Amino acid sequence: MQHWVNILSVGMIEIALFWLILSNSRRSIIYAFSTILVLVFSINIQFWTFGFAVTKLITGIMAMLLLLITPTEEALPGGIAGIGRIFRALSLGMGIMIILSTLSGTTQFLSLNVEQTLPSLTILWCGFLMIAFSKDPFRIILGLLTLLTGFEIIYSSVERSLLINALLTAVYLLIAVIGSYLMMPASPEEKP
Amino acid sequence: MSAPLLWIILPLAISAILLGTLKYDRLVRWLGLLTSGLLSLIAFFQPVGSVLQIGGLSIDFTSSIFIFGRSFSLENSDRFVILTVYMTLFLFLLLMDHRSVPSKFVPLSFAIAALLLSALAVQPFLYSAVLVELAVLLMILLVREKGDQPIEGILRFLIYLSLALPCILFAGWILGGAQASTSDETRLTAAAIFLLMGFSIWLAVFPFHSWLPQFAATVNPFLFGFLFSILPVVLLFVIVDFLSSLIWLRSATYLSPALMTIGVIMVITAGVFSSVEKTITRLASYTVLLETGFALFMIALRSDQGMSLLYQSFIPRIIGLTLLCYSITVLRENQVSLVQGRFTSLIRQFPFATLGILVSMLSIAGFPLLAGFPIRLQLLQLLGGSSWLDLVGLVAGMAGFLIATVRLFVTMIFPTNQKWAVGERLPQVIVLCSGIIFLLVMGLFPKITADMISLLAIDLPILW
Repeated sequence: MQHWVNILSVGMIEIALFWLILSNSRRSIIYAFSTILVLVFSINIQFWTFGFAVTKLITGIMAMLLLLITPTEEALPGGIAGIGRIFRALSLGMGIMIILSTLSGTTQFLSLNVEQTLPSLTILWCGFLMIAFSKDPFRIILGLLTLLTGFEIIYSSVERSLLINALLTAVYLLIAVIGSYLMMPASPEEKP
Repeated sequence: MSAPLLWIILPLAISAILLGTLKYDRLVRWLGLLTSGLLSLIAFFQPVGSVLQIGGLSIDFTSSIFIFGRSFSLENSDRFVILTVYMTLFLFLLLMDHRSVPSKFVPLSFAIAALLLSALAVQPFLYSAVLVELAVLLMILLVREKGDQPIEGILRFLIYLSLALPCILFAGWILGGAQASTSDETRLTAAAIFLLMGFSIWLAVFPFHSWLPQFAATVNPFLFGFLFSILPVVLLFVIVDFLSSLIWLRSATYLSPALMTIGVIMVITAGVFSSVEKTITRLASYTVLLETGFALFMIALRSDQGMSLLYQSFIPRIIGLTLLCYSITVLRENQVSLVQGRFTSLIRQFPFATLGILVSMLSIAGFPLLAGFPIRLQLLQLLGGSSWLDLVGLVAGMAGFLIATVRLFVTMIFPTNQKWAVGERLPQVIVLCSGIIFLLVMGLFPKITADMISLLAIDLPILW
């Protein structure tokens, strides 16, 4: 790692990922995702320009706020039972172990630093798990946003094209808009 | 004036204007019809790179435009796909009925068409993944109709197509590094794997196909028909352009067998799954898989004949899917359950919609005297000398699809005591009859289509 502070940031990201995947309430998920966004910003700012890193942070917060203010019909369905939580935690933990064991190879392949590779891959994995484990639109949309957050750490480090990064930001925001649109409850006249 | 300005920026601007005037639904529809018709006519008659004459005014019609440092370029070789996209849009706007299709269809369909064409135009091609993703997100805005509509299929569509985005962008980044030294086998292999995954998700190749039937079962069949008339066509052209731009991939010995294997898998998957399918909307989705499988085969041939056949196959494909989806929309509008068990003797209540479904499915299956037959026959003849195993696979897939059609046919014409009636309205009868006649004429006189297309298919992409 380039700086010892990053050990702290990366460690906190891993903890926030467990918080994100194990959360039962919408509010808790949002807090966990915000924490991840801020911690990712703290890493990105060391490698990207300030404006670029801030843009990504603001986009993430906007997307999250959009999902937070969406009026939804009901609370998250069911919640996760005890055994389900253990399974999710184990899946994330095993993924992190595999990523750690192949870290030097992947870091070399990607030509990036460890503090970029490790959080991006673990966030990507957490996003995959959220999509795979859930049927709830809120968790799925958050999973997609998590996946894109992880991907952007790698991709925006290597691709500096203004158009592509602007389009990726548009995709990020549009996914949140679509998620919000899909989660909207039926109006009284639409209900059968 | 440049081609991307005319066929991408202008439709996007029109889409934005139409979104603001949605309450005047007739005006919006007529404006949409006029614009899509004009854009199609220009694509057919006006070569890129020449001078556009409007009265006394002469405009230099260039091929490229630069936006934020990236080039968007539409050449003469792209005119066929531009024409296909805007003609399809024109056709669907013509068939659109405000009772069953929301008025947001007009502006959103223009935006989707423009974004898909921009995916074809952007240089380098790998950035097209982001533009396709934007188009996909707009498609979701289009297909979501009511608050109580089930969204599992839509969510799955969103998840799968969003997963293709990182795969293709990542492959692009790896290739960017590897292009300088094509001897770096590890990087090239990694790029090829990511690309394969991305393209497989885009085209719904087995085992990434499950989103397609689920999506078809969830959304309005008319909208499904429109989206899957243009999406796979544009994606196939993006892939062809991509293959033709990378020399190391183009010259790879494994490319042709890999494409053929994927094509066979798609055709067999579509045949097997459709033969046991009971919901007609899901059956419509398997027609998309079947056609895409055949299209991949035509690309895999890597010859002028294969590419010409690919161009020719798009017209029967689009007309067949349009007729099928329109017929299903007519049944849906009349509250007919779309599950096969409820279709008993349907021909006595809705004779034209029933015939529309059967004729379109037979055409897609490659039944003699219908539009799909000459294309299938030529492809099988081209393949006959080279690969017997692939040939057997393709025929098995077609047979599976034919079984599905026959099963449907038997249920629909099952004799009961019900009296004959015409449940469709007169405009619907006219549209359905026109579609059926069109498929028959194209099957009887295939050379007409081939001659028309040969005018536009002059600059074929280089794949060998």
